[in-house]
Amino acid sequence: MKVPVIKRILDAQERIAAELKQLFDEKGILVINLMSSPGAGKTSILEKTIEALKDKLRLAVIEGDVQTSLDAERIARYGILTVQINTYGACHIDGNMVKEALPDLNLDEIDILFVENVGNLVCPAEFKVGEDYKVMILSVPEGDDKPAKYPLMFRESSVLLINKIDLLPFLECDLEKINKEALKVNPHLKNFPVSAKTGEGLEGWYDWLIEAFKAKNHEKKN
Amino acid sequence: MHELAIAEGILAIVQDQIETYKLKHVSCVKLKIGLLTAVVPEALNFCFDSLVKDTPLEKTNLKIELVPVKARCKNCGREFRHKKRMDFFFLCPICGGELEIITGKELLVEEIEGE
Repeated sequence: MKVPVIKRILDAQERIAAELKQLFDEKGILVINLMSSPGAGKTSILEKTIEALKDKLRLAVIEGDVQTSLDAERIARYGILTVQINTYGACHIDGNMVKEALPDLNLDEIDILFVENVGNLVCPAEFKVGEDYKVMILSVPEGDDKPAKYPLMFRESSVLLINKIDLLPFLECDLEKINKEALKVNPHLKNFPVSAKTGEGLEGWYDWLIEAFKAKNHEKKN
Repeated sequence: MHELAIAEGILAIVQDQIETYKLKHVSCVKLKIGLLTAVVPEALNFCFDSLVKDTPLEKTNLKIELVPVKARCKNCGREFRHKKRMDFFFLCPICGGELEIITGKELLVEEIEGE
């Protein structure tokens, strides 16, 4: 017997993500799904962002890590509500994991929630965690061929932070090429060259975040 | 390895259908997988086999149809087919307009064969 099915394999996943999105929307929380390969600077950029914005906005972080709580400890130092998720081998965070973290978050006291995904340029692109935006970080030592090699990640992201530009003088990496290739994959991608080390370029990212938060809450809180 | 999560999704759908149609065994599950999803068929097979090992679904095969990436220019309406696996540019090479994806993002269970 042949049974026609036509079912989307990740349907259950997407339903959970949609429920989460609705919950975050009701609470007026801007949710950022932060993705990159390991070592591109997700935690460092989060640290800078928290330093810059923690007096203006109520921030919280869900830290996804395969094994340790090292990143969560780094973030918790800033006095920010931080929840650790260990994926124990899984290469990405999914909606279920975020749902499990909810009891540890007081959603009435959060303006922006960052979900720091597991370091990986492939899998996290496929899964929604209730976010408003996917934001990806590419660091220049990774090379300027990455948009062509990992198109889905660039395609799904709304913002690209090109990190470690302080290293450009020592590398054969063409910033213009990254920009051009990334826009070929995703013409809507907003692109900020930054250095988490020197702080260069991060103002634009902070402004984008504040604007995104305001836009989300335009009717809601004011 | 997002293949494992995808294999779990497939298994959940198959088990659902087994219950609905009171199937005793399932020989084949037909899948449509778009090339944009970056799923590696070998890895998906491996993950699925690991999940069904020592269960009644142990002999179930996955039949994976890979769907090429097709896109249409929003500006001039020309259609493009990306042949190479890693060449997914979404600007029209003729007019520079933005391409919208027609196919290539599928992750579907299409059909189940069983008794």
